[in-house]
Amino acid sequence: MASIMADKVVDCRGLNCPMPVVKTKKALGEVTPGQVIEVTATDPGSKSDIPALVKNMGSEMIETRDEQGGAIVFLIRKK
Amino acid sequence: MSKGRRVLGSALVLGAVIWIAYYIIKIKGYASMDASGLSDGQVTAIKKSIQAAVVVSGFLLGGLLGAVVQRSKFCIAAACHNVVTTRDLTQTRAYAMALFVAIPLTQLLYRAGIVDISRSIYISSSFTWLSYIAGGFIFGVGIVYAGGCASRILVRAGEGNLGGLVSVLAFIFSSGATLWGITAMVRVDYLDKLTLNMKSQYLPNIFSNVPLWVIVLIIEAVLLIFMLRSPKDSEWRSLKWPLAGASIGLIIALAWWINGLAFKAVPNVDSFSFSGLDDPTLLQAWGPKSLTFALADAQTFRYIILWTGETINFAVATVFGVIAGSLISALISGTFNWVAPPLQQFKYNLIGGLLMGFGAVLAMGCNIGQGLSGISTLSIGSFLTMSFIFAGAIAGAKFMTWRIMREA
Repeated sequence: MASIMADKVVDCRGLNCPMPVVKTKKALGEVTPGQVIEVTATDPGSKSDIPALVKNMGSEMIETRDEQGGAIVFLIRKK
Repeated sequence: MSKGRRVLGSALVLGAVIWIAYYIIKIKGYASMDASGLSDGQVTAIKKSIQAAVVVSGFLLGGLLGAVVQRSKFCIAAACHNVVTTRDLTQTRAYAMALFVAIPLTQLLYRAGIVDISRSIYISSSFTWLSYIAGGFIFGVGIVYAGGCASRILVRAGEGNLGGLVSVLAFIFSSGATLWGITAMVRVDYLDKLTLNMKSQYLPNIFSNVPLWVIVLIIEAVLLIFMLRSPKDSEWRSLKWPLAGASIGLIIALAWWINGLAFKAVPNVDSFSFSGLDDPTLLQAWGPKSLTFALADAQTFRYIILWTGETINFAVATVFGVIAGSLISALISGTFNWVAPPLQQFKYNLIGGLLMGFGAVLAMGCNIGQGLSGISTLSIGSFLTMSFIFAGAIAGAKFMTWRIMREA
């Protein structure tokens, strides 16, 4: 686990594009600026889709890491 | 990925390309040979050899497509709905790149007399405008829910995604029913009845006083401007995406090439079996074609469960190729993972696959069939269908977003 604690955790394992993107968008709408969300996805497309969404929403991608079983974990700070 | 695996992957791709090139040269020989002195036995042997070349090429081209899609995540479904979901147009530009390569090559093959696209279904079918519009739109909604187009869901199944497999099975079920079964009635009795009297769907025929090269040049210019106008920090600027798009465009053109040559070679060696180039049995079996997954998935299923009396053709071979190509590519790159869908995704896969199957058969093509193979022939129906696939995907993504936003 990273040193930064997430204020909201979004589990998108098993969800296919575009569901992880939509769920991330929703979670970012629910937290206040400065708070951090953690998104876990297994869709390989998420690796480029979620960073693109975060950039276009003006938030900050703190960390992206690969986990076992093809899962990708994103830590995102809302700006 | 280790260096050894990279070398292995590249060697497989290179091997496949050389193998396809060999078949192109071989069928070209049959198309131009003097067949007047051939015995019946020789004619049968040559036809078998052409059949084998076309089927193996289909498998290899499908394999290449599967590998490119698996590695790059190229997805025409995302190319459509990213306009509203991530608002990042990298995938859309990759699709534009595929067209940028496929259109001029296909038109060149046509004008050089190698591939008679005017006898392909995209140009010669009657203009069933309502089927194109309704089918395209329904298919577009479907690809958002199924998590990818008809080829992408095959790739997902190939890399271990069981949700993708659910979409594939639902797609096969409903496309089969719309081709031969219970929903075919709606298509044949109502939607397909609405046609516009058009001699040919070839776009340059409508602007008959404008030379073809001007039309192609205008389309290419539009695509190029769109590709070049990407934001400076866009992922599109890396080599990966333009390369993925260009490879897919090339695969489409190669598929046209090999099938176009076979359509010339078969009546050349066997002039007795067919009444001419418009002979229905000739067109049915050998008509010029490129990649499409609208009918192919259902045909493949039929081929597997019936076997007796079914012959393997180009389309069926491409389906096996896509699955094999994506599986091999996932295994080599260490990205094969069993993934099971949660309930919500499972429902979406089921609904999406059913919508896609109905829509694809109605529109006579998916976003590979109409969106790449069809548009590369400059068929008006393909442009119309693809516009509505876009519209359907955007509507589907908006609806899905609205639903998810309302969830607790």
